[in-house]
Amino acid sequence: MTNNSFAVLHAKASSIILCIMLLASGLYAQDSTGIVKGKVKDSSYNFVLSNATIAVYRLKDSSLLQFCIPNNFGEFSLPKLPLRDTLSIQITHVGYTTYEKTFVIRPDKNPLNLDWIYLHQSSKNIGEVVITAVAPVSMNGDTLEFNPRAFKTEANATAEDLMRRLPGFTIWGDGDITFNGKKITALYVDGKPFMAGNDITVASQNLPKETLDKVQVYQQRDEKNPLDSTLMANLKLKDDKKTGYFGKLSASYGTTQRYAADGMISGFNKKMQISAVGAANNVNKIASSTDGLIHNNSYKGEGNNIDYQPNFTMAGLNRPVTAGLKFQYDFLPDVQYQRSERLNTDYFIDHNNTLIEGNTITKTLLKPDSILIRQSDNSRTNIYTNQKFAAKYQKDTRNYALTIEAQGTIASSHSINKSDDEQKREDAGILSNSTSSEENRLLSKNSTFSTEFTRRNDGGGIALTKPKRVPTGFTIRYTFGIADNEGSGSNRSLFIATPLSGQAVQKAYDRIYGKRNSELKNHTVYVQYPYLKQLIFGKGRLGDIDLKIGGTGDFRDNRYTNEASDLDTLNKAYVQNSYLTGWRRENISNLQPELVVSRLFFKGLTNRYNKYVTINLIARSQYYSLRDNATQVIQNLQYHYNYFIPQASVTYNNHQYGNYQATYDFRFETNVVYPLVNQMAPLIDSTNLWLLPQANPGIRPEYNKRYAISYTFESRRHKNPYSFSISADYTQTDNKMADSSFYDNTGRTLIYTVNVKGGHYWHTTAGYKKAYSPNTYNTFEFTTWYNINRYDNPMYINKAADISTSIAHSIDVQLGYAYRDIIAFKLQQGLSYYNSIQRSSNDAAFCSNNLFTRISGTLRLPQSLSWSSNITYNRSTANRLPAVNYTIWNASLAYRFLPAKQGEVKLSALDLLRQNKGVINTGDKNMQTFGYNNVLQQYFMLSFSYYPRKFGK
Amino acid sequence: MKIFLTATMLLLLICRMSFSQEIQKIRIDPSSAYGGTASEYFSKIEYIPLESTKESLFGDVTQLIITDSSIIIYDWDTRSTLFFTPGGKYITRIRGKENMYSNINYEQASHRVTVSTYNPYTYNVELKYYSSTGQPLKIKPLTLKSMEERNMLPLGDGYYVTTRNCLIRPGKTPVDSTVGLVEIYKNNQLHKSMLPCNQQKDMSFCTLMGWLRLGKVVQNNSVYVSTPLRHEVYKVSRDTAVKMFQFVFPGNRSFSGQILDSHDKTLLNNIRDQISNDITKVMDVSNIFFNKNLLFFKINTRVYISKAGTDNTSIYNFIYDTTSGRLSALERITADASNFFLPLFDYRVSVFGLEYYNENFYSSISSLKMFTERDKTADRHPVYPKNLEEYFKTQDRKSNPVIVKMKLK
Repeated sequence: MTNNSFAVLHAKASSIILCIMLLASGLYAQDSTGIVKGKVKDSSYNFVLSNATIAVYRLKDSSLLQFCIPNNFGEFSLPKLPLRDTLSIQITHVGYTTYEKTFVIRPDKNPLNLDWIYLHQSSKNIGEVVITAVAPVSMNGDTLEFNPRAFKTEANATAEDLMRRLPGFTIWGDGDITFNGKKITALYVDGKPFMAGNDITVASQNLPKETLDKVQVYQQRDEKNPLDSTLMANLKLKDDKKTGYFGKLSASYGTTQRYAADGMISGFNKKMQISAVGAANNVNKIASSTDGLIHNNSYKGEGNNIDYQPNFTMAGLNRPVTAGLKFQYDFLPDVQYQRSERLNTDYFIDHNNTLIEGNTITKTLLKPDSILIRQSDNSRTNIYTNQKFAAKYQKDTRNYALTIEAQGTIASSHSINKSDDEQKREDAGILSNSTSSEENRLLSKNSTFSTEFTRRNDGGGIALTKPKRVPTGFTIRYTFGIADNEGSGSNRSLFIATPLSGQAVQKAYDRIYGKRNSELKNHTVYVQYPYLKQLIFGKGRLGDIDLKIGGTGDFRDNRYTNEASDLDTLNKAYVQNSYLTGWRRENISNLQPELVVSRLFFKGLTNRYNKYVTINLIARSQYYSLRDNATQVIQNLQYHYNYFIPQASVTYNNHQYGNYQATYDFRFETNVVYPLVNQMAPLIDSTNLWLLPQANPGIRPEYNKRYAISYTFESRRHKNPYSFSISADYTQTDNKMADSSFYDNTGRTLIYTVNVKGGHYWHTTAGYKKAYSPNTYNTFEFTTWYNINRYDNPMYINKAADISTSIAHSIDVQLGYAYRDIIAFKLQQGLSYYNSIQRSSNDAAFCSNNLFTRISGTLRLPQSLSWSSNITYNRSTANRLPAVNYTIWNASLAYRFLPAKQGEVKLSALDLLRQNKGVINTGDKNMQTFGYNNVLQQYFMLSFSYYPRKFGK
Repeated sequence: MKIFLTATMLLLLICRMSFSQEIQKIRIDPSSAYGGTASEYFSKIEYIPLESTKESLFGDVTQLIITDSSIIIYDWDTRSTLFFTPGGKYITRIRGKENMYSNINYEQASHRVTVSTYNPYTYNVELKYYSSTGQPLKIKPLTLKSMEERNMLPLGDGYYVTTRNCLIRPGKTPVDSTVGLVEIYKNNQLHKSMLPCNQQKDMSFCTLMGWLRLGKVVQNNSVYVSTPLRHEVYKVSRDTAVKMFQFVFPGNRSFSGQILDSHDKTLLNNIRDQISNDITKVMDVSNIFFNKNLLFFKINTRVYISKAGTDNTSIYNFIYDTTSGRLSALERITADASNFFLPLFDYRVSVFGLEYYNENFYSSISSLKMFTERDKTADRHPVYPKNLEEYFKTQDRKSNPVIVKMKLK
């Protein structure tokens, strides 16, 4: 046989073999799964059991293959079962003996029809449950219950891991959980919120699957509208697992002396829940609340949370230390409607040591041919400690609702700011320069006490007798606040004006502020009586208009004490500065009585739609008075104003059940901004070298009128939800308080506050969000939003009227993909653009834009290993300056070990390309600032974490 | 001989007296209720789509009344009383005012429909009268004072029956006053007060329930009512309320004698709180009437299960054969070819039960449910009658509900 003929024969044989294989695989594919079907009935009383649970297991390893609940005819059909394999079918129903049968589906008898299956009642006692087999799902009244024991997960799975495997559940990238496409609005544990927060991940990511007795899903259902209901989920704990604790202890150390430490421990029992958390680092991981710390220390770890990273855009080097303690106690362990009594307390301490160093260039447009350029190099050190304590007691009964809250904060800070500034005119040269060093200390203590009491009108429940002639329901709220601030500081600076400015002068300042104290007290009372119509008109319908009367009274007593002294260079001693030393007492009263007229129009058809229109008109008056007495005569002033500040709104809501919900809203609001004493009669502190405020006691308040319109659309279909929203608002200001600036020859600004005409503000925002999930494993998400702001700011520059029009656009587009909890990927593009045009300067413009592109992803493969990486490309441009580009690349690798995966070791690499820059690129009216701050830069870090946890005794 | 006869009479009298002090107890165990297929229970099942036009579109069948010449529906959503022909064609509609809800009653003898509308602003009830096809009658509308007088069931010959309540509201103290749970009126004057109840003496009943549910079916100028909790059934006519029999339910679905006789306010308040979400305890029995040897009734719990099912706790409507003692539950009847595999009931049957007229049962099904079930059962290839075929072809999920008419075998 020649090579050629062998080759031909080989090719032919290969083709034939290939065809046979393809044919065989095709046939095999057709017969590779089987179906078992049947019908379930009560053995004695001739009725179908439509709430039975049918489950098929592989006998060899008891793994659950398929399960279902029969239809209304008692029929079931379970597909995708293996052929020629020994399987077991179990049929369970409350009150019946379990039915079990072993079977094999053969290809020649596929589907296998078990025909009628009769279940026998085991007991007449409804309360007795005889299910011994593990029914994966059952209907308990109106509640669908999943049995965690029936679903195999890895040994240390959390509740969230379990829910991923339950049919119908989807865990979204933004933390939402949906069931059959509908969002679960609340996740309770044994019927109560877990750890006093609205964050469902605290429960789902910390509670192990083994503590769960049931996962319940139920609808707060409007029976007449089965397409419309609120979905709730409840994690019912096993009886012996109703107490427990869980937490995290973590320590990290890295290059350039980077460190981080985190700790969290949370415990709970039937009545009480308590959490203690703490964190310290120098890698810009800052939490602002106890809830934030609890969220960031979950057992699941950062995992696929690709948004939790050190903040590389934060200015300066920060060394935060935070800690918190949270406590919840339910006096009545079983919470019901209008029947609950709960105490919540929260303590949070936050300490930070920040060093910000930067250099900036600020350009101020005076005229088309005249730009002031100020170059600054500054260094700012700030150390602060804030402590916050809050307690809230709530009691809810049929007759009344009572809330008592108390809050207190103690904050101390110490900052040092050093800067070197140089002011020059673009077409001329350097006009002046300065060096200054400023230090400030502040200790502030404030506390707030408030109580709100609502008396219910009919005593709660349904009135079966005639309502009272005088309805007695009302609401009253009282708040008292007191703040005590003690400050001190110093300012040492040198100002030099060059001959170019025409004033060759040099001034040195050395000032100490012995006191910068204030004591602020306020009392606020709010009352509302919602039954005015019934009180006046008795039985009259008044066209079904509702009338409420009420109002707010706010009373403030503020006292300021300042002491300043300057260094006498001759005597080398500090002499009191009588201009800046003194006291000021300010009394403000703000009364706002109001009458609320409202009307609701409603139309609905059961299980089709409901539509409503609400109209609200608030006729509100404001009586505002200020009286100021001070050491400096210029600050002895007072004024009284009375304005009518109405509000109106119209909302139209159209909910087509099972299809969509659309809301249209129109609003008109007014408010008044009153001039402050520091705008009317400021004291000029000469150490403020560049900005010298001037007095104008004749300033009037500005009156704002705001018009807003919005439209939101949310789909209500089972699958692939999406939403869209757009809103626009416009504000017109009468008597706008604006700046009238004089720039002297040295480049300093004298600034008055004046009233001008023509203040306008426009704003539009639009957003779209869609999720697509072709099956339970894969999820795609697309989000985009666009925002535009436009300000027309009238002002005066060197007595010439000007309008500065600022327009800022920003747009963000995100595309995300997740495969189970194994892969998460996100692509994000953001752009912000700012443009400021000076009308009086031939539309001379400043513009700047910032752009970023981010790609991030996480992979869990194998189960114990998490790979994570994100890259962000940044670009900043400002006109007349070169663009700044930089790329930040972070990556990490984490490994879980120990039997219950309670240990974790993690290696992180941050800013691998060492390109991070703290860019400052901002604009405001006729000014533009561009520069750099110090920021966190490249480091490598090794972390060890341990997750202590125990559930049950 | 004389002595013998006297002794015999005395013995019979004693026996009769002894017998008359004991009433018959009918033991009902819902777990032993039979089911079956639709064709086993009903000889004929018809679906009557209600015409859907812009004028006749309504939300839900809140109340359903069947007459010889019409199907009358009160719809809470649109505050309307609608009249359709027995074949489902639209006749007319009476629209009520916003925020005013009505109750409709039909007096067969005079073919008169009474629409009672409660005005929450004046606390009055206004009665207006219409023919069975919706034509206003030349009877002056009547204005009554109390809200509780709304629900007046005509007994015939100008007599009406209504109920009063003795409910002790939470936080209130029981008062030593007696009300008749059942009252008979004629010409808006109280004719008779029956079944007295005192808050202090009957504290358990007044705390846990406190009111009586009136039936809908009037037979021979009488209606059956059952006292809640103890379930003693009375036949009420214009002059008398005669105790007929008593329902007895399994222990776990009833209240113990200790609770029923209790005067412990704290205990009773606790029980009231405990049962506020209870789905098993039978609070009362309603919709009681007879058809030959068949007794029909409906049990009521504090909370009803909304999902249809055949479980013990999902069934509320029963037929008891007084001859054989066999109990059947209507919710355990499965659809078959005789009703085209379509549903027989909607969620209303749990709460309101079925209507009964002229030996037929009536219920309503929303179009949403009709179309959903049609899609699920298409593979059974049902043969629909002409009117249903037309309905599925021309209507959709948002059309008016469909009336189901079932004739018992």
